[in-house]
Amino acid sequence: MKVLSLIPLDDCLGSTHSVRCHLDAAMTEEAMRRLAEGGRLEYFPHFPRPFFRVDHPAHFIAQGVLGNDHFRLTYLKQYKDAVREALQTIFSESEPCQDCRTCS
Amino acid sequence: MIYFNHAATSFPRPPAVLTAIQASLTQPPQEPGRSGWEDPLMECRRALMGLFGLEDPLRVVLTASATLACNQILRGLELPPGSHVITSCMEHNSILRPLAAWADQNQGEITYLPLEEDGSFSSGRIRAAVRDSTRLLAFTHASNVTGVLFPMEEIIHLAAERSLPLLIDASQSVGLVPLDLGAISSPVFVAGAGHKALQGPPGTGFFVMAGPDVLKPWIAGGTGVHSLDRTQPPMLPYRLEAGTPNTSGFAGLRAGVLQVLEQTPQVLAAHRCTLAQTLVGDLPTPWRVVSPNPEGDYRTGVVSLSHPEKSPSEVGLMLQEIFGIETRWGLHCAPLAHQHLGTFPQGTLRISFGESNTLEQVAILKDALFQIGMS
Ligand SMILES: Cc1ncc(COP(=O)(O)O)c(C=O)c1O
Repeated sequence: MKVLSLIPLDDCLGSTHSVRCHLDAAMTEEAMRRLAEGGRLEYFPHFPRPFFRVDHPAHFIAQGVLGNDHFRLTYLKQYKDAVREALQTIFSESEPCQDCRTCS
Repeated sequence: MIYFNHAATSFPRPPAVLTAIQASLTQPPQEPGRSGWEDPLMECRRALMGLFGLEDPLRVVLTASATLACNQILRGLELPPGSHVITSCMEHNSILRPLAAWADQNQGEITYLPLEEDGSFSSGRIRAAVRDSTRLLAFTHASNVTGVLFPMEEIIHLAAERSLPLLIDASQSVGLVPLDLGAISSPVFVAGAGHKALQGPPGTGFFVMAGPDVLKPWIAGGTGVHSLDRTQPPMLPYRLEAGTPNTSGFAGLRAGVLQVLEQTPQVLAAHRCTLAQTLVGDLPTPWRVVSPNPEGDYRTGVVSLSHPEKSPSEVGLMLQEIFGIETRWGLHCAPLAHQHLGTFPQGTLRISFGESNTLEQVAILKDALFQIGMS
């Protein structure tokens, strides 16, 4: 699974960055568990669409729904590089994303 | 998808609005003065006038947004350096930021008045805050965070009593809560967004002026008339409108306003109020209404909620991704409101109702809030 792009979201919140992480395939339970390794996973399979939240030690929170090809990442500005590195490790096939406006 | 974000912009637009925009873009552009020519901008001004009891369409200035309207009014007043302005903590950044920029450049002073304990705004606080140096009152008619309505008739009266110009941000109330400017003799400016309850497209806004005509132009440029003049021509609305206007957008806005006038603001507001009261009256635990509106007056259909543990941004995402319900979370461009209400920096989850919403949709929302609330 590959990260295709990180699209900034207008979250209207001061220092927190919110981006939508687009994947080249739908998020699976396995990918969710990989994303949660070393972190804290909250998983709500009983909702009409199974929702997850991962509090990751690389200082980001990932939230989304299994079956979507995207999820939301929230992190503080100063952890931008750490978050990108972590993503590349987790989604091992990832290439550095091309149109990442959050990094500017 | 269920859309509960009408305070940001309306959705879906009525078919009449789409037809008007399309007609405007598919007809050949016409030059003023040609026979059979009807000025689409004047038609839009006339429609807007109907909302405010005004008689002169030239007192309606068309802008690209409520934000630009607020900037033009504030800059156009040319307040003397060192002046004092009274506003409230519930204002949108479209008032707060131009005021702050003006104050920084002109050693201005700004007083931000709070709400009362019960979530209402008391005009008595304005009376107490007026100084000899006060030169402007600037207030929202309805908060885009809690939906609370400011007692605008009292404020207009007070401004007239003190001969103070009054800037009203009616972005959330226009088309829902009437403001009658017909008999006003002091300078009152009402700024509004075209793309919310008036159903126009984004990129439309306006302001109307009652009382003496005192504004200087803030933006200068082509007007299509009096091209030889070195500076902006003195007559309204050209003095305050420069550049090619968004004709198709204003054709859409006119269609939206006519529909609102036909359906009547009172009926449209009653619909929003019913939906909001249905939500607020029986909110699932552990949700809380942030600063409930006194006497359940939710005519603009805006309600802010908070959860004791979950952040508004998390809940907003859950509503969106799990249940297909669109809301708005965060600070809603009104940071002082959240500081005042104790919801800073996370903000609130804002539910805002509109024409297209139904009681069944409110029931779905409540169920979703219940499920999320308990998770
Ligand atoms: C109270 C208030 N004022 C001003 C605005 C700005 O409107 P516009 O986007 O047309 O500039 C908004 C829009 O969200 C608003 O809610």
